[in-house]
Amino acid sequence: MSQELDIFQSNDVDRLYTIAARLFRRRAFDYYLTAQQLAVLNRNAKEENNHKREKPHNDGHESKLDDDKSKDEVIVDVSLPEGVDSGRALALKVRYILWDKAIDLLYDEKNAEEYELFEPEDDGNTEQKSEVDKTTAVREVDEDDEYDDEDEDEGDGEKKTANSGAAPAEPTDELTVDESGNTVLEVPIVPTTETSQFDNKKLIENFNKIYHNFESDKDTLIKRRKLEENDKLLENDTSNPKDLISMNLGAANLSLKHLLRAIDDQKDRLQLQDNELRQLIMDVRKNRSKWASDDKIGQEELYEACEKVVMELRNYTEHSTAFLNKVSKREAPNYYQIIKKPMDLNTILKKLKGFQYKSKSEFMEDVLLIWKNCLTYNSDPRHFLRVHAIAMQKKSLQLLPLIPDITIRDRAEVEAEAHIDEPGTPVPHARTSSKKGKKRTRNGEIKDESKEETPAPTTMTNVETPAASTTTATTTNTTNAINTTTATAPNSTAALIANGVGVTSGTPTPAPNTSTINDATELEDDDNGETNEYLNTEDNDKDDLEIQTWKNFTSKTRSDFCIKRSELFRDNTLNPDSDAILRDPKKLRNFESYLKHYSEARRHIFNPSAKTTDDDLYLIEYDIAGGLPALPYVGMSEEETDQYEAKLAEKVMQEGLKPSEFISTDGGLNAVINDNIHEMQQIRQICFKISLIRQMQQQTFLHHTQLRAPEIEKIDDSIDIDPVSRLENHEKMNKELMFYVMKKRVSKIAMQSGFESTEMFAIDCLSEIAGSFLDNLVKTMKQHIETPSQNQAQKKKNILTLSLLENGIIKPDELHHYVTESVLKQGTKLKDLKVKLQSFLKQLLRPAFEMTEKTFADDSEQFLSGEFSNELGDDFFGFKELGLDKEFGMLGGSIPLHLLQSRFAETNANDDSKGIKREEFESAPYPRVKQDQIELQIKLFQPILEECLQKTKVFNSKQYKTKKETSDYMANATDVVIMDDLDYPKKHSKPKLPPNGKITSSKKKILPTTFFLPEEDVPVVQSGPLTATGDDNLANNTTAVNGTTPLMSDIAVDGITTPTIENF
Amino acid sequence: MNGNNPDKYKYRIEIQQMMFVSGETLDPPVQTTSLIEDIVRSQVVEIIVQATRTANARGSKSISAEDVIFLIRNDGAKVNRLRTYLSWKDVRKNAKDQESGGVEGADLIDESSLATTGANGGAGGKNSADMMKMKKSKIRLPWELQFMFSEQPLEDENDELNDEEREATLASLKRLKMADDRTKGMTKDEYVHWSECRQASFTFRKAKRFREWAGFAHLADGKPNDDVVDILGFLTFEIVCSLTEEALIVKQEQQMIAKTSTTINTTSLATPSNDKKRKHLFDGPDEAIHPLSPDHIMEAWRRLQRISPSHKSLRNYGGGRLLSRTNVI
Repeated sequence: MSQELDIFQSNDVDRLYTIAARLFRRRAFDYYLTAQQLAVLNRNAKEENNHKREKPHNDGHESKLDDDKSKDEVIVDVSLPEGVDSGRALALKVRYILWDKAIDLLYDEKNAEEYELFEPEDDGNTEQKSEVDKTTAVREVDEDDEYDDEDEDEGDGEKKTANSGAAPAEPTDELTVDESGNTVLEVPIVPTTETSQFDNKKLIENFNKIYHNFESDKDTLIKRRKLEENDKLLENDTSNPKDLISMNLGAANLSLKHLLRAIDDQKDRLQLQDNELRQLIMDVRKNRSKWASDDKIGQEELYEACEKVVMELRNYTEHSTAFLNKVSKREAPNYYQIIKKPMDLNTILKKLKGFQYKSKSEFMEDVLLIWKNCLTYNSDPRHFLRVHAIAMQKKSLQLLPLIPDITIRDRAEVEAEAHIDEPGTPVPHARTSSKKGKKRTRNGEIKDESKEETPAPTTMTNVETPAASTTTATTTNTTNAINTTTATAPNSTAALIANGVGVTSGTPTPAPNTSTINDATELEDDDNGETNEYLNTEDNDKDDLEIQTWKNFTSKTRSDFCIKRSELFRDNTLNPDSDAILRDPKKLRNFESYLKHYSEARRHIFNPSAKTTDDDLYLIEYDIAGGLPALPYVGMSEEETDQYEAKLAEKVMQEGLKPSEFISTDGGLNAVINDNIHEMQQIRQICFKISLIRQMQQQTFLHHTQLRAPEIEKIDDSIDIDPVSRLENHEKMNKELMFYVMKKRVSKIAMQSGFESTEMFAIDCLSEIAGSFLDNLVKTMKQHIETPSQNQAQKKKNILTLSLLENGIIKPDELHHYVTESVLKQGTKLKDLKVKLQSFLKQLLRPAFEMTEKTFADDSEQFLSGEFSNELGDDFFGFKELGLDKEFGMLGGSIPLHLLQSRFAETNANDDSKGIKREEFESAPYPRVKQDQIELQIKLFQPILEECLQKTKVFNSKQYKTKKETSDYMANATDVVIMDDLDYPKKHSKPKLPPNGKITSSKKKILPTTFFLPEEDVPVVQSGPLTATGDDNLANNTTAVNGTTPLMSDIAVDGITTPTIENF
Repeated sequence: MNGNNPDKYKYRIEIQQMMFVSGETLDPPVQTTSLIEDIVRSQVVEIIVQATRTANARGSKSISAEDVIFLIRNDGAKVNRLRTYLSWKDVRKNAKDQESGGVEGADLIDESSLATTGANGGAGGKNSADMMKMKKSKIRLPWELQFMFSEQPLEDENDELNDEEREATLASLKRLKMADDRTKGMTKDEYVHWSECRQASFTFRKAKRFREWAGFAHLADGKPNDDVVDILGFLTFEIVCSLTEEALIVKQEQQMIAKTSTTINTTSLATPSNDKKRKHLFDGPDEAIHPLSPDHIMEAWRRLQRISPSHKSLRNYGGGRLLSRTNVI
């Protein structure tokens, strides 16, 4: 760094020059210098490039400079009329830029590009040079430039020699020595339409560096006012015609004729002003400007462009004020004697509105005439108006090429022509749109080059003094056809005539300009004069492109501001009633967006109409960040953060993701709450079942949606917050994240309190409230902890209780109470409830349960073996029919077990393992005693058996209805099987009521009939097996099918049954 | 406060009795009772208004017992006592139906336990077992846990005495103890009078008067439920009692302050002649018994209306005016 700084400290001219040259190549100067200055510099740069290679010694004499100007300044120091001043100004600029770089160095902010600047040697010169050549070639136009000897001598003598020494080396440029031995440096002056516009964006950036004082704005203000007054005048002018029909609506007149007439007839009923009405009609006509015409081809485009140009010129208030109106006789009594064809901007406007122009050339004529008139009349080179005229001329020359070159022709004519000539090709120029200015001008060149385009030579002539000008000046006429291949090439420089004839420039030329523009000599005369004037009066500000642009842009704003400010100080006192001068936020925003989007803004500048809305934005007061240094810490860019996060994520992937602190733990209250919720869900399902049964009782048809049980989703506590937020670099206490965690907790509590579902909004609200409550709690605690009071010694516990109290928890016990009551106890309550509901549900379903349970509980095989067929009647399976009964020796209707092989195996296996069970023992058969067998029994038993027989007989005889039958039976009955005691029907032929008098508890409830068996299916007595003997083991196992009446179900009927019992 | 409008205040005697029960002298000044009556009425109005609001939220037009109980749901002990009271009321009604008025004059206002043993003692005996069984028809409140679900289990006969009931019994035991203390030194006649006083009620057998007094017709649509009136009677008794108790505390405190200040005064003055005043036979009583004055009641009222911190905790740092409604005592 120090090395580079040395360059500046030691004021090493050579090095500085190289730097400057490089800077120039980088177009760093473009934004700071005016076109003229650039041109001068450019020329020098080129010269130097050649120079360097050929004559290295060139540097030698440059270093002889004793003042602190660097070498380029010397070269730059073009001799302008007051050459020293302009030269100094230019030199100052260059130096400013150079030292600007030095400042960058000091702060060590140079990037690679900057660094390159300070490299001592540059071998890539050739390449760069060619580049430079290319860019400069366009600009490099010859210009007569007389070197002012005397002026130079006054200033620095060495310089002169230096330049004269350097000059001959320049092969391409024409450097001529005038009679008095002055070196003439020819530097082209370019009408910088293009550059100035392209500069704007960069310049705007630098606007905040401009120091401006409003006191110097008086002129601006006055000029502005004039323009505004003028506008009004114009307005009145055009709105004069009273009759609507005569209103100037262009082509609309035709199509809207009837409408207009109708409106006109009823005009008195209209409340609108003529102006407004016209505006309305203008608006109504879709997409057509007021210039549009059906009859005239090209009129719309041409007039549109022309109007814009005129408006632009009018708005160029810096200089335009004098040319707005006609020159009045009062101001200049002899004006009309000198100027035969007066012209002013308003007249042009009026002519435009009167459709008096037929082509671009006519329009251009008029525009240029204004300035010419002025220059003609005010022949004194020091006259102030000349400055304005020249500036305006410059401006107009910038603008005029934007107008498409169109000659308006009648449609009929064109059509006729086209018909005759070539029906296929359209009129060449008429149809191109006005936006593409450049292209059009090229078209124009083909046709009118020699005529219209060329009269815009911005020749810069150096006339030494009026006296010197009488001598023959060096004249160089070079007419270069411009290279139009490069798109950026300024078109207006198509042909530049460098004219050195300064003969008459000193003396006023009162001769009126003939309107023939082709009169080259006159034009050139004038031009010479103009440029002279321009350069003569050039002050420091003019030199500065930056300030100029700025002034242009801000003129309206500044004047507005001045007006406002004058309001504030009206009558030389502070006016308290006036509005305060405030920044307009809209403008502020505009300004911001403008700064951000240069490219877009650039388009606006190109579009002159848009400029009027935009150009009042550029007052620096809207740059709110102006003057503040940038923050040293830029922050992490998105990419950096992404990278960092990716790295972190990788690390985490390797180590495994750690659960966050917000994950729910399994223990503690959480588990209890989870249990409770689960319990509730189960209860809900039970409830659903119960209500379903109820519904089935009432309704015959149920929609299938009603049958769907509520879905249970178990709470998944393992869900953690998203992995990204768990990364280290993410803030743990991120508010949004916390809110979601809180929401999760709150929803759980809500579920615990019995809500099946909630709206998200409600949970949001609850979370917010919970959050604010906790917030308050913490705030209170903080206050207590931080209190400066005497009680500070109080224990933390006390602080906590106190804060709780203040937040509505009167005793800490309340919390405990809540946990025990609402959480723990609720759990037990829920469990109770669940059990109750379950039993209730069971009761509802019990009838069905009993049947199935009883039939299957005692591992009965009746369904397996088909024993139930015994009850159903004989030969249910059709075994008898098939004769199977004989084959298998079957006595019952049941399927012989050995047919069921698997069953056999099973029982065998069982026997092996178990041995005899008590049940089997119980069911062991004992043959029944019959009447005739009584004698065979032990004597002791015989009386008893007799008695029993008697009883049986009596019992059996009951079935007979008549007495005779009974007695018969009693006498004759043989083969009566004595009944077992157990077989006696117990005396419960009518159902016994329980002691409490109630039927059964289950009957009391409303039970679904669906689960009851039909009435007749509840038999009191079940039929026994048909088998007379109890041989068959399995057949004895007949059991009651129905067990609804518990009393009867206990009666086991064994094998010894008589047919009589069957009937019972 | 102004006792000059005799038509306006209809419950002077009842209030006197209630105050006596809760520890006041027998004859508090008219201003005091009038003030208490005003307060009670405003409370009743408040209760009705709030209960109507709850009822409307439920979608019904008339107030049911649950709506009123809902207002005091946070006072578990009170709710349980009320519940027992209601269930006993049920018992009484059933008993009347069955035995055609076998139970008479049961003291149902307050303590169920007392009622069974005391007033009901004679008539009880035989049907006390029945009554106990009847008692099982418990009052269920709709915010109990089981009503959270769409189906309820069948009534379970053996509901164990849960904690809430224990709480209620605790509270009632406390009250009994207080009553015991108060009646310790009473003669038989005094006790009879006292127990008579305990039966004072705003509503018992004068439901119509109560309705008119509270302006029911203006506050709610339709005639209120019998139960509601009974509950209100219970609650008004509670209000008067708590007001009196609070006022007594206030009085005590004031006397304490007065005493300390006077002692300070006397010590500073140091007039020994005054210090030992001789007592004579026909001197008046040592300390005149000061009945509760309206300002005591006012202070008690203020204390009872204090906004609890739980009502304002959310607004703690929010600022703004705190809107509060009248607390139901």
